[in-house]
Amino acid sequence: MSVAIDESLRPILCAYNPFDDVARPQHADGRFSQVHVPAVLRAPREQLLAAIDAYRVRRFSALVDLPASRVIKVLGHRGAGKTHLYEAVLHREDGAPQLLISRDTENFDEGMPFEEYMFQLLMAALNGQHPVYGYRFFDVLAAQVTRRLLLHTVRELGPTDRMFVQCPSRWRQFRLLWRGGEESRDRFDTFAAELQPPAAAAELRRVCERQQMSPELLADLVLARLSRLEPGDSTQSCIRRELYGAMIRAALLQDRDALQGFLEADYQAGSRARVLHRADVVRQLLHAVREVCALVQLPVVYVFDNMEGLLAPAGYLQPRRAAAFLEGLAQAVDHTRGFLFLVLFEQGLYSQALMHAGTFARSRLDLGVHVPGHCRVAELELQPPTRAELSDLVQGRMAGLRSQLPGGNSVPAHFPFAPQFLEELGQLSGMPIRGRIERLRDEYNRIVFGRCDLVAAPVDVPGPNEVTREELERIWEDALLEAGRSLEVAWTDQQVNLTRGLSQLLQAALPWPEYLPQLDAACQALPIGDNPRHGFATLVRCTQPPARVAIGFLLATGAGMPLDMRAKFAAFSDEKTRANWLIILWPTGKSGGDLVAALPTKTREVWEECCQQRAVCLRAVDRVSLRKIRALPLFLENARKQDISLSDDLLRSFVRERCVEVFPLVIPDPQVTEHGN
Amino acid sequence: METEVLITPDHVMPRRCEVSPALLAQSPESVIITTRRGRAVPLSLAGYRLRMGGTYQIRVTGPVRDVRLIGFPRLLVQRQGDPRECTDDGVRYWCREFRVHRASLFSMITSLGIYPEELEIESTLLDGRKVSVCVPVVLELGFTWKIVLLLVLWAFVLSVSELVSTAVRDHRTELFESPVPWLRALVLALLYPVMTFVRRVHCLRKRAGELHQHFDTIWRLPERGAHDSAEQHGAGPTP
Repeated sequence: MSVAIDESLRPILCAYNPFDDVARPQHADGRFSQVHVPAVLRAPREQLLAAIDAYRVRRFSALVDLPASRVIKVLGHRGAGKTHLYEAVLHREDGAPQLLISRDTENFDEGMPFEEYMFQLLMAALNGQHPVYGYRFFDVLAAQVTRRLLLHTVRELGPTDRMFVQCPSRWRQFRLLWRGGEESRDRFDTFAAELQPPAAAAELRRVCERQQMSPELLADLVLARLSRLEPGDSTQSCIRRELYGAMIRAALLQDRDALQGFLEADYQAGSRARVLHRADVVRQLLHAVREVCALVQLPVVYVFDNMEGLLAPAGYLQPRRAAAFLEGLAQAVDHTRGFLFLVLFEQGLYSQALMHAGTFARSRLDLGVHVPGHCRVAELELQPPTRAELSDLVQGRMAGLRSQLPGGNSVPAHFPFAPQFLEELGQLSGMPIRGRIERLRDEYNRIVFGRCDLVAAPVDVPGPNEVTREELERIWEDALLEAGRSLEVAWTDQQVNLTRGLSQLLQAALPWPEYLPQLDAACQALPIGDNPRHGFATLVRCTQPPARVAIGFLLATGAGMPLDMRAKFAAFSDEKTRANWLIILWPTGKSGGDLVAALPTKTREVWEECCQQRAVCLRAVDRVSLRKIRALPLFLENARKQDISLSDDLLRSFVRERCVEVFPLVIPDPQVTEHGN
Repeated sequence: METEVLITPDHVMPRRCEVSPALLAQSPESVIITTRRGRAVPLSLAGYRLRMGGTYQIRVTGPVRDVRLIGFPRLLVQRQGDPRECTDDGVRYWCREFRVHRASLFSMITSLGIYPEELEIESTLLDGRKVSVCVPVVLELGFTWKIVLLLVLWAFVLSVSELVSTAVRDHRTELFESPVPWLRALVLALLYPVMTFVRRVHCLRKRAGELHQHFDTIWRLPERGAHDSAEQHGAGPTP
């Protein structure tokens, strides 16, 4: 089965092994297009794309115009190409816009209502960067919506209003009493004509400048129209006003924190007699954002990949977690419109998880999406590639090298493999695509580089599941980069991640170093109190002296900050935590001095009101520590994704070494007693 | 106790969860007034200036399927024909023709021939929604100067006939010997157009002031306490 290679071609073929990347680039900087072969998994990909496009509404005038929320399950064995399929959908060839919300951005908490979880994922996705194009989704969405609002505003300005907008001088006003208003009218007509094409959204400020219109003035006009058309203090009106207002400020005034203002607004405030439940508010928040997405034909798809990490974080399925997830998903299908849920399950895990779901959830999971040309799509099962797909795969991966070969077109399709080898590989039953690519990689190594890793691997070369220190460093650096990116945007969205990150960090460092004699027990991240946005803390049990220490992050700014502060104090009263110590970590730029005095007035008032007779500490946490705390869960998840098993000792020493500055933050201050500060 | 059937009023329609009105167009793309031949009408700070006796067109462009003129001064404006869809230079628009009548002589003299009014145009958009637009107009006498001259002449003739009849009746000869009475008559006659001009400016300014006030009411943001409260809370750390 060996094949002879022309020695003159060997230098070209030795440039790299095109089968090194198994399914998707293993490195963050890898280019997906280099490993993606469109012929592979074409049918399920086309079905998925068609289903996603079914959520792109052409006409939208009422909620019923949105398709009902549905779930599509993608099932396959380990290595069947689920994640690759997701990446292929993400990098779709036609480039049609879509909002794919990946689970990676936030972790599921079974105690949190599912719609709250959905909303947080949605906000994180809007606030984060597009995984392919790099722009911030909210900015693009805001520009498009603002263009539309601005266009409507300009058209609604009456003929005389257009003159008053420009505040003419007294002399000009006197002249305008007779005639001359045509100039203003035509100027606004030209402006409206420039705003008309959707492409104008990309250069909104430039269009304003070209027409010598002040963005601040235009923002005021659009906001005034918004107040007029969305009057009252009903929750829906408030949400819409805040959301569109945030978009207008982001697009016209380039206010990057505008979205934060929308998230921090308290929609329960006001003189309304009926106080809404948080679930109702969240549902309306979701609807308002979905409405905006529908307006710009943007399908919103939740993608739950790597379900093993979600439902079986410890290596085995957690029944309560699986039931909570599937029931929550089913509730979301019933209560929302316009969302598509894509759940990528490992076949065996899905069967196990389904056993813990009730009939209510099962029936909702099987509803499926009606796609023109594909009938109903509810479940896609990924099959191993056929012989023809394998051939396409070889050709696609070899395309880069083939183009450099002399007479590249005349080289046979199976080059450099023997046809018998591909034939046999295609006939192997049950082997998923990842296994086949690994076989191709090894065969390529054997043919081109003249070595066989499977047969005679050198002793010092690690196997696929072992990890070197350098590899660990690389994964850690990638995680730090990713953490840095996620912390560039609003920190409030990071409450869950940071709390969980701190918990995992402390857990990984167990037993704690000698300089932390007081702490000695497991720790966990818990939701506390009744504030679903800010109510999270890491609970650490302390043996010397015996205490239960809750550690929370004060991340909110502006109007949300007092709420965040108050939510942390719920750690004392919450039944799950029953803490008698509280450490609040505040990411402020101030490193010394009186931190309490540095708090904004309202927040300080909450602090003074709540900290009476309690052991509370307010500490500053710097950006570096925050990044490390955020990076740890990403680091562990990336390691898990790459099938890297970390020994406890290696992980412990690595975490202790890398996160040394985090540990002092969690030691209770001996000068602070339970009787007050 | 007898029971009875609950009667639902006929006009009640099933409630729909509508999208935000802010995201929808609340007016056609453009509404302009032109002459019958499609020429531009002067636009002032008090509105379109329409001449009495003239015929005009309201041209509405955009995704519209019907146009109606629903609010107008019925004594001065009369709708003509039915609205129709026209095309001009490849631009399709809906056209509604109307004629501005002359007011009575007494009304013209007392109001000095200027009428600030408003035309309300209702358009039915393609999605079935009806939106209305108010266009301010100033209806005024056409050939203003001709009428002013006519009035001056009329006042002058009246003065002269008064002088002559008085002179003949009282046998006074100074009328024919001194120019003073003639000048006095001329000044009196010229006062009328001056008064007309002043009144006209006043009227237009008043109307422009009203429209400015309306603009402020509609297009100025109400004072909001939100910014103040945000400042009061402090900016806090920013990421």
